[in-house]
Amino acid sequence: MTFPVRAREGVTILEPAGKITIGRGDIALRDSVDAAMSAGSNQLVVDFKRVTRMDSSGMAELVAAYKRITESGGQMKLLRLPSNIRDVLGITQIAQVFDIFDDEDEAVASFS
Amino acid sequence: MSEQLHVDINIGSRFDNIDLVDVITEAVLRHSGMDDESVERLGLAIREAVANGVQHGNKEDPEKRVAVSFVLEQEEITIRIADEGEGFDLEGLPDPLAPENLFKPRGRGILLMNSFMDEVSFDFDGDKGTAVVLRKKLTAGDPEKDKEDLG
Repeated sequence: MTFPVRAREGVTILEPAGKITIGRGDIALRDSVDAAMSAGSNQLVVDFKRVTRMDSSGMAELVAAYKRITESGGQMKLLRLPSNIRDVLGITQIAQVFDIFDDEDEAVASFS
Repeated sequence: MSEQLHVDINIGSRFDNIDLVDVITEAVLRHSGMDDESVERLGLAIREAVANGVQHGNKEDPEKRVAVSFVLEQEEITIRIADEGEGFDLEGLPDPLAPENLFKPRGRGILLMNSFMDEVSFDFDGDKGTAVVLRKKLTAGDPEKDKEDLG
């Protein structure tokens, strides 16, 4: 399973939905990022608008994806974090790794 | 303290079953009267403990069980999550907040448990498996109980 993606001004916007948790959502996140990279994109925004929960396995995949993309010379940014996910990314200090946006236009413009 | 609710669940060690525990967890936490944010935070802490039992304790062997016990009392909720695994070296886990560990996969589950619960304890019992016990006082941030207390 992979999450829906769309392209905008050379940036790939990944749109996961539901839970990014152990066993399914975490794998889908990994596969989705890998698919985007295989398609030649390493400018990625992950839009969390429809994500309801992220556990430690999801977070592990998120930082692993960030590492793969940055090592390939790309960038990965986060968009529209729900409060519960902002909460756990803050506690784990993962939030400090990412540029985080509330507005899609600003997120896309930040790559240029 | 009088016991208001006691729920036991026993699952085979499959990731899909963690979602079933989530459903029961949310029902029990809502029964306690806690607010949405607390339900989410405690729910995630409990999920992390169950996932540890399934993945690291029982190595995803569906024949091995994870037992989850919720005990809701007037002022406290206690959740015990027990697996059949061999245990682990708690001190050997990397500190997930250390800069050099930020990109490592492990250690965040226990960090979240410690962040969201008042007390987290581990019981390593050799051949019988490992149990983690999570405790949370219900008085703080519980609007229903606050209303009752104000009379």
